[in-house]
Amino acid sequence: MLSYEFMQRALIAAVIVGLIAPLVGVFLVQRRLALLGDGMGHVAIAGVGLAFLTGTEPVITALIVSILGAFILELVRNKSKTAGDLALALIFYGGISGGVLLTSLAGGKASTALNQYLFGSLSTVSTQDFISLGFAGLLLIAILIKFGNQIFAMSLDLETARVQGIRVTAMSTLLTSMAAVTVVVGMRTVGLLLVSAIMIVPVAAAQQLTHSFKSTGLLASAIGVLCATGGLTISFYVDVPPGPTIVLLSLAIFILLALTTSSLHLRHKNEIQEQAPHTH
Amino acid sequence: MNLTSANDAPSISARHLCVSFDDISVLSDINLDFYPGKTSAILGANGSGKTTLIRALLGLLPVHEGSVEIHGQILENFKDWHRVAYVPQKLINSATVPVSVFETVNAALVFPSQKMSGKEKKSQVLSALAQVGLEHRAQDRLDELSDGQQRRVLLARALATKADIYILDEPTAGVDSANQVVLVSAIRSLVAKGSCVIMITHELGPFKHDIDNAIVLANGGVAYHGPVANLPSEAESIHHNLGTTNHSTTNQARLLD
Repeated sequence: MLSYEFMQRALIAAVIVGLIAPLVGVFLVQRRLALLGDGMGHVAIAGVGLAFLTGTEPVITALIVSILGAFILELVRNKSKTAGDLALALIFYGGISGGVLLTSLAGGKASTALNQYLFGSLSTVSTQDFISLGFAGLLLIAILIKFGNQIFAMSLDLETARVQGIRVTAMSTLLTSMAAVTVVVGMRTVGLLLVSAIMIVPVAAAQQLTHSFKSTGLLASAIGVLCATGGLTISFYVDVPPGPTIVLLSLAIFILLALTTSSLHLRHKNEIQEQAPHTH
Repeated sequence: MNLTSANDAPSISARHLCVSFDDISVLSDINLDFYPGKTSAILGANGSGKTTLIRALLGLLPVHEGSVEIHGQILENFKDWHRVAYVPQKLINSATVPVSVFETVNAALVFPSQKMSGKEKKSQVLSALAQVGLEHRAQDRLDELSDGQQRRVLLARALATKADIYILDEPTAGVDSANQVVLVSAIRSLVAKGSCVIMITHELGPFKHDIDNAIVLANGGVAYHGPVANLPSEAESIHHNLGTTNHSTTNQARLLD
């Protein structure tokens, strides 16, 4: 498998998305914005459609359109009376409709190519994409190092963060933009419709075992890398799209950990009850 | 009426403060000064505007008219937020991703305007947790603690900041009497160091010997501002003059417990 150059690129891209996506996702889950990545994925579809129509590079165009979508989303949430989830739904529907319409207008093989972006494809990671994804991944890590503490304080409690002098609107926009960049980083391997899952499901799995935010983020990242590379490998040998394989593998790990921890909690509870003195 | 203190300048001042929601006035023409080394209790029936007042003092709500000054600076220009600590009734997102007690307190030390080393932060976090008797729970999940313990963690967040203004929203609610003593002692030590403490409380019970100024809000204004010692007779007169409901009377009776 590793003798193929496209697989080497795809695997490294998978490591990048597996590593980064849960680190961004853990903040989204903390802020109860687990579906934000989905919304950004749909906006990125419009970006890919626009790239097909204008003949530009899909990764770059999707990145620009997604970040623009992130700013519009924050603007709608902050400046209008529209509720957060409603604002997300509006962006969600606008993105997918725009994407399909623009792709249709582009004609030719664009509709077939769009499918590869929706569910991921092993052969679509070009060298230029690879450089863009690597750069975006490094940028996300740098932002997390610089602003992670402020975003965490804001995610824990918006009002006390405001009293601490944290610019919560700026941090919130930064987090939404990071979700948008993560979506584009993952669109080649996991696909735009499922990339949000790799941000969220490893976090849900990790928090079955952890006691702190930091350990949840790190464990989720490790699970993300395992699922992204494992799913990609299965996809290579079984000839199925990588996106669904990666996501189903993540869900399997979540279910396994949820069942194991529930069973351990139950056993622990029974042991305590057995040790307690019987009163009759 | 303002209760002035020694020769100190007020830590926080409100002048002609008015707050409205959708054109409905909640607070009007509030004039208050809060001084260093003094403890002020904001009292009043449910819906009297206690939380609205402290949120307005902190700039968390738009002020319709009037102004707030913190350490002599207009609120809009105030930048030294590391000098102000706020204890809400509860954290908004405390039970989504697991968050440790240590992380919860540590997050209160994130100030864009002031850099602290990790070692310094750790020392302040553990010291604050020790003050509220929870240093042994530092690595536990916050949501595994009882409500009373979680309130102690929230107070530890404020203590860790080493601020000089503390604004507390019902710091003893849900805390058992033994631990109320711990919290009262921690707050007393802040005042002894010259900090300004402003707290909303439904009952003066644990604090009755520590409150310097009692402020009773009713009908959108300050109905009483003065020493706790004068509160009983004043409270009766407030009830008589403002025609508050029996529900308020019950609440005011509770204040005097």
